[in-house]
Amino acid sequence: MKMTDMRVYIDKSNVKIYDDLQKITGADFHIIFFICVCLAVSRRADPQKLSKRIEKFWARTMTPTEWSCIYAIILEQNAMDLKSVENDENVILQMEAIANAGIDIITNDLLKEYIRRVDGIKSLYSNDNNGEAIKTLLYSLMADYIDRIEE
Amino acid sequence: MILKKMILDNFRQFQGQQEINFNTSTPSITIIYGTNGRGKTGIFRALIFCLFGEKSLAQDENINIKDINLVNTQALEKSDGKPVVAMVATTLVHENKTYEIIRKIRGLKEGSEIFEEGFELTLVKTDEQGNTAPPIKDKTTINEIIGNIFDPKIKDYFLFDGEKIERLTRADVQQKKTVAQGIKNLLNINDLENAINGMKSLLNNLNAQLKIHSQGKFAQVLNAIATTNKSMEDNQIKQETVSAQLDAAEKELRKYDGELDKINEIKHVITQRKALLAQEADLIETQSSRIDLLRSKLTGTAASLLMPIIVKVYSQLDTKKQTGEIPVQSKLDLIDKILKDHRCICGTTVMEGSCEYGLILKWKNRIVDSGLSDNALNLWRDLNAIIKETPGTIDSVHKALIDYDKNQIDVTQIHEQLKKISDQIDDSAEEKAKGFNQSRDKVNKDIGSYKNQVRVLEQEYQTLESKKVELTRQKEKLQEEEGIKDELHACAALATDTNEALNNIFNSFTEDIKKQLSDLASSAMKRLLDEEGKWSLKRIVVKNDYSLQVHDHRDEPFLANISAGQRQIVSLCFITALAQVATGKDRFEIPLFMDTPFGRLSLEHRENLIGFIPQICQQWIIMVTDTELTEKEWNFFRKVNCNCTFYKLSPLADGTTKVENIPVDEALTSIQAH
Repeated sequence: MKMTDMRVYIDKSNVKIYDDLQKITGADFHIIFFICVCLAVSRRADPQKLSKRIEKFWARTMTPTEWSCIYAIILEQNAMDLKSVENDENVILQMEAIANAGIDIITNDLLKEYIRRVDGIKSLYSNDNNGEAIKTLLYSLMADYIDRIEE
Repeated sequence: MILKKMILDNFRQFQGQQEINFNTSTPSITIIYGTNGRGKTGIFRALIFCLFGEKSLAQDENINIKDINLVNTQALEKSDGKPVVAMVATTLVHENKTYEIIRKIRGLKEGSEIFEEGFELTLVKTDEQGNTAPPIKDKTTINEIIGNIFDPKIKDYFLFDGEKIERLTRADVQQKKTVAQGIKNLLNINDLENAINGMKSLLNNLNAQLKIHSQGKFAQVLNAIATTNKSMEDNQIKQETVSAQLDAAEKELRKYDGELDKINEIKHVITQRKALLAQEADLIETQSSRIDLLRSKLTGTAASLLMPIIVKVYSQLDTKKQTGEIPVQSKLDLIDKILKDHRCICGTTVMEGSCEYGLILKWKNRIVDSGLSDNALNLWRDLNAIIKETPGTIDSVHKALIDYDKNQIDVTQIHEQLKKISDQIDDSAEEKAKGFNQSRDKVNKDIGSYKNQVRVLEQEYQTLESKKVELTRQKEKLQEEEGIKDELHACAALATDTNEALNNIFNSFTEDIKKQLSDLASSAMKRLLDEEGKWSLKRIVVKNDYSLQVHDHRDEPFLANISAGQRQIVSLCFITALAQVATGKDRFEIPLFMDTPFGRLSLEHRENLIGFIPQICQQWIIMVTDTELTEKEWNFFRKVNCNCTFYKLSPLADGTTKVENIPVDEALTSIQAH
């Protein structure tokens, strides 16, 4: 739980989606990554191992809130064994697999109306300003939040 | 001549074939009623096009003729690039013979451009017995026949659009020209003018020869006369040049005024657009801050999805904290102190090697790494903060999203309003207005300068004329004294006398017509003006320079002081006087076609005009807008003892116009519907 700086990786197939998401929401990569993690955990999606790892951002850009949530996820998964969060490299490695599952939720559900396929490669496209994409994302996250509360 | 019928096919606003049957009783009124843009002037234009093949009207003086399209644009759009033929057929009766004139024009739309060309003219004549002659296709023959029925030179006194009525009230060069041309056309004195010019040229030649053959003082006088003549000719050339420049400048000024009027009409829309743009900028700025706020809440909102996990982990960390598992540093310090002091906090002695000592040592070794424990405590704190903050974050996101949506609706509405406004106005209207105003100021200065030049030249001409009279008198005196009586002198004297005689004939003709016009126009004015106007305005005068003047009750010039409505009355009086003089009858036999003539008239003036025109003309065709014809005016028409036909121009969904004949009894309902 030292919030160690390191490179955070995503799957090569999702590089374009991350770039487009950043473009249409104006949100930094660490936020997109964190949203992916939260969605995947919340919807109990199985972590997906990265087939080809591509560096995307520095872990130092993540906020203490994001780190705390990530540690909480690991602790919960490891019966509160504090040693499970001792090694940040391991923590991030696990999060990369979780976020990799989360990005599919964004593209297949939350922002599916923004998805275009050009030459078989998924991309997000929007004529609107950032506001509309952020709004859609937030409405979806809030709907999920209400679902979790009701559960 | 009586206009019987007009058929329009794909002409201007009139898509497909539509028909107007004019009232042919004598006297009669045919009213064509429609709001602005419905095609009243289109009907007027159709008649001018059909009879004379002309595309433009007086009101089009500032429009490039290429921009005037006669073929219906909707029909052109539907034709998919194929040519469309527009047609106007006019049926008229003259001296018991019926003439049907059919004129066609073909249009083609390529991209945004429309090309038009006239391609067919036909005239069918039916005599008193109803025998129809074979159609005539030859343009020259047809124009000759139309010319015999309706002399193109006098057509302008029967076909009046609002612009021409307005123009007659201006005290400018154009007005003088219109009046002068009208009088000259009425008199048909072109030949006389040619004779005067020829005689002037002959006289100049003879004087030049005399100069060569003369000596002494006589030669000097002749020389001076020749110089004066030359100066007078030069002066007239200069006057014509400056008048032409003045005419062009006044035309340009009217063009700028017209453009500025158009811009003024949309001024309130420009102001509205400015306000909307400012409002839009504010909303966009607010929206932008709201987007930043929403973006900053992404992490917090995403974290809310983990709330069950966060709460669970926090609770367990809290338990660890409660049980003393974390934090550990103080616990380690305490254990080290007990082991070092060999005394527990309860006072019991803990000796090294004792059972208690062994148990405490075992407890010490069980405690986790202290760094890890500190981090766990930090995590406990962070999770606690997240749990506390999340409801607030969710509430603020919810509120911001609602505000964002509401704001976005406002932005969309403003966008739509701005789009509508942009469709109505040109973005650069204000810039253009500035440019027009600058150009207008410049032209106005030029006009002032030209007017001044004309005044100076006129004074100069008068001086030269007086000088010439004096020199001619001297010449005659010298001729008498010196007994110069040779052939050349005799010729020159004869030419001078002839020139004077021709000028006298010209002047007496024009004087006579001017007097007739003045009398008829004044008489009409007395009938048309309201009580106050009748008292204050005495008569209309056609001045020597062909300008129109109105004299007040003291018989002093008063035109500059009369109201816009009175100006329009003066114009209408002059128009009717011209028509009366042209036909030589009190009630003229050519239809009087007027487009929107009531614009500036007061109710009393309108009533007077409606009562007056049927008394002097046998067929009155009048096109009026909804502001010119209300229930009140309609009642004036009903009071007039003559037959009336009513047509209404109604808009169709595609922007074209439908011509509807409304029974007179139902016309009032149509008028009231507006």
